[in-house]
Amino acid sequence: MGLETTRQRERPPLFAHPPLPLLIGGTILIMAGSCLTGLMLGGVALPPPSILEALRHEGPVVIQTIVWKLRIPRILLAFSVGGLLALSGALLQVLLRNPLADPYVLGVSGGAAVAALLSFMAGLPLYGVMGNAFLGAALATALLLLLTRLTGPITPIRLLLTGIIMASGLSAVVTLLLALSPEPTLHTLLFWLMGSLAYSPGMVAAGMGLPALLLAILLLWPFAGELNVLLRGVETAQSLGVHTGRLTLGLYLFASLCTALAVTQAGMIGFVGLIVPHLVRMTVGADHRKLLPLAGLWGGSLLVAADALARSLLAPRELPVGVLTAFLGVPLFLLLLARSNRTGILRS
Amino acid sequence: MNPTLEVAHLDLASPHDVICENLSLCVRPGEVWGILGPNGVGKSTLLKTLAGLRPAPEGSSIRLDGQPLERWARRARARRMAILLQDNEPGLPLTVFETALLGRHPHLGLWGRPHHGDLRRTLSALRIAGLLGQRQSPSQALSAGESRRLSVALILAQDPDLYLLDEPTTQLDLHYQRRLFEHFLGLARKRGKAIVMALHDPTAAIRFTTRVLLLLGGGRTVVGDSRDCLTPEHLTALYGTDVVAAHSPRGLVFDVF
Repeated sequence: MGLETTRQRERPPLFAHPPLPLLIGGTILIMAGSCLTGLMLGGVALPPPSILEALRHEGPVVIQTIVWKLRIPRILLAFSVGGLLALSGALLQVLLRNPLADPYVLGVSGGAAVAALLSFMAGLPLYGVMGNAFLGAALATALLLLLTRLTGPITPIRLLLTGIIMASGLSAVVTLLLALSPEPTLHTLLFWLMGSLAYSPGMVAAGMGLPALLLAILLLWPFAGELNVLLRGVETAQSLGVHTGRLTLGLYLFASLCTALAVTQAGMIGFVGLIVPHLVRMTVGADHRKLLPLAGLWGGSLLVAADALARSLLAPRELPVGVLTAFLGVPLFLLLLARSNRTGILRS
Repeated sequence: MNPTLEVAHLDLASPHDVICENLSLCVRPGEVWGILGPNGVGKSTLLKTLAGLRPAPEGSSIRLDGQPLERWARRARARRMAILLQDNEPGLPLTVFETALLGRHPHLGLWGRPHHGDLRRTLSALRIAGLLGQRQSPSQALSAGESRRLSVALILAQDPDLYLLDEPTTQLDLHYQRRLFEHFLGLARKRGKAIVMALHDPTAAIRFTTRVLLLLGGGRTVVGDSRDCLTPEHLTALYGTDVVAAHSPRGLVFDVF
């Protein structure tokens, strides 16, 4: 050990894993690749040349319509939903200091879904549905904290367990609401809930989703340092000068908002919030200055690609994308679990 | 010299016992304090109260650099005072280097971008803790003793004027126990830092501390110079087991076994 003193002049590592240009370049490639897949795949497979033509407003009108009116809005929507879910998952994982946390697992999505479902059934307009979904998500989060507090001390593992129970309870409420809903709307509601971008009431809001995602990343970024400190636990964070009460409350609300935006647009899509932050951590480490923006951008790309597959695998039938993210997510998570033995990522 | 930490009229209690009653003490720059007492007597609770992690009871006063603890801005306070807690949540893994760098958090600007000086200080803290070679490893991959050293590296990087240390050398091998004790002693002597540490080893206490606070339980406390207070009689009363003193070539040692 004493030998180390001779190496003290070595320069500090600025990036734990890949260098920054590679990271930015890689992210742009991932985003471009997923968007191209999203443009190509679907009910009709389009080759890249005709896509380029359509993008320049040339060539057959049908293809221009498909590209501009169907696929691009769909890609924007998928990107924003995936990004918001991944961001929300990343936040909940720090707040609970547990790698298994995500809005779907904890019942935050469930709260948003119940509220949104009730609002649909009451015939509220889109913004009413969205507002209520946020309230539902925030209420579910508050209830999660309250129930955990009432049964004992608030510790990350107890929060996780309470969240899992709440998620099952809320999914029973969803089933109940579906059973009570009238026949004609049932199919639509069911597909929306299973996680599908096709029935999105938020199609009109697609233009809003992407700016919302980018804004969310920008708003969170200044807090990345404090989130890093929070990884060492609340007391250490306090002793390092972080106002933990204010910070965690703000972050819970922010995660609820991100979840609500995603759920109103695409229903209950699981695994994106769970898997994407892990993928990012394995690549660049857990430093939130890198993790937050990358989780948003990679999460968006993942959902765009998954949605492209959902549209094309059994075309002309469309699969709920939530089914696909689960099919991708389960083996991916098991793979991460196996790798974690070597890297220590999930060890505790 | 103006005191770094001033405690007056502090009454503290745990759920099952009184920790201290009307405790007053004054920690000056360059002093190394030891807090000794049996398990569960409230050493950690006392340290957390001194660090402002737990509210100080009404009527008591804890001042850091002459200003009441609760009047300090959080970040400014974190630049003056650091606490080494007994346990850290495992959490999600940063690398060893990134973890130690967290100690620089109160010194960083709004965007949290570390400067060259922050990185240099962090590396030097890791060198003292003997973790320089493992700085790229995930912090979770460390052994218990190495994790403890990483927590020490974090507060060394924090570079405060007052160190509150809760059993800094538990889980450390003999080499690192001595290395870290000597390092903290050097910080006090050469750079005028104030150090308050909870300890279990009376021999280490008499070797490395100048002042001690003995928590006897039931609210009874003894405050004084280490050489006066660390006697076999006091220690026997403190731990309820027979402690004898002997002379070794390096000075006084206490033996219980």
